[in-house]
Amino acid sequence: MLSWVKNRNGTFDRSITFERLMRDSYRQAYSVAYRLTGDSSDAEDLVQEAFVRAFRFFHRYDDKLPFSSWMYRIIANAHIDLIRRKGKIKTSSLDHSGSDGMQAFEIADHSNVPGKDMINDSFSESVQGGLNQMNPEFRLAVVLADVEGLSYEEVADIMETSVGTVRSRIHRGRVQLRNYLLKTAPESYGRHADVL
Amino acid sequence: MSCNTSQSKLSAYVDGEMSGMEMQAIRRHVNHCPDCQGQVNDLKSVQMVLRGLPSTPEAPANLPDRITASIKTTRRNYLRYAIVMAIPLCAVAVIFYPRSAPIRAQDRDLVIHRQLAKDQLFDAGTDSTSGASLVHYANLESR
Repeated sequence: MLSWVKNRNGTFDRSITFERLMRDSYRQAYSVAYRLTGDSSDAEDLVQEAFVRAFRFFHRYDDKLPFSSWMYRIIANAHIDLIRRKGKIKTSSLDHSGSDGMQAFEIADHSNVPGKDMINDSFSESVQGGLNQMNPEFRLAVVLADVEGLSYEEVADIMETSVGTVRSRIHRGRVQLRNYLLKTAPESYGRHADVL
Repeated sequence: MSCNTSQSKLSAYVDGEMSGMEMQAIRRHVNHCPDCQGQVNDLKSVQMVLRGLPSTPEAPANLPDRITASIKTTRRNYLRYAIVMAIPLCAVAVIFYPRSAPIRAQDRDLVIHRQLAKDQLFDAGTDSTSGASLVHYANLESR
């Protein structure tokens, strides 16, 4: 319990409120963090860091707005900060694409992985691999829009940027992911494309 | 509308995240452009893949407790930091306060004493600045 933290007016309300909100939302936060980091351990670190920040600035939280939206913004900022701190930005930009428009990705060889053609696990691993390869800002926009189902306006609000920038990031992120999947899992991706 | 102008808008078109006018303009272009039609299908595929992703692994059940512990540790560290910063400030205040306080009091007493002395001289008919008799000045003015 965080009830050892006393407010100026002597009540424990906000600490208790924070703890309740945190316990209600940590699974969703972890899910987003996992999609952003692609790793359980990194996702836990990111969630932990985000909630510590959220508690520190909880007095700024406007409880008329959904807590999850506020947390998305904190997770987004914490994610970018953690990447910078660790110095492990593995980004790829369309500016560095090859002449044929394909990305010069460093791709893990999954060709010998058993059960490669089973869509569920191996294909979702490829998708996650594609997300991991993306520029962090493209990845964030794509995850918020396509995985979390937020509108462009909500994504723009979370990323503190314009809707036009979000539109561009989502588009470029999707193109990067398509190119990655065409290289790493063409058959599985093709099956999805054929459905349309 | 050319392919270059429309391509950057195709994702927004797929998501319906643009005005009706823009949607119509893009639709007209896409209907007559096989390349852009292919791009739209690709973007829809990617969107479908992302929306159809299986759930992520379950968050560890003890994660909330770890978050709480982490918040407590961070707060304790801030408190320690505040104490560490406060100690030298307190020491400086303790060292300088006793010296400065009596001097101020002495100054105040001195000003009061001087004013009293001037008042006494005035009462006795003497100019407190020059020491001359006030009667002397009165005579000079009457001339």
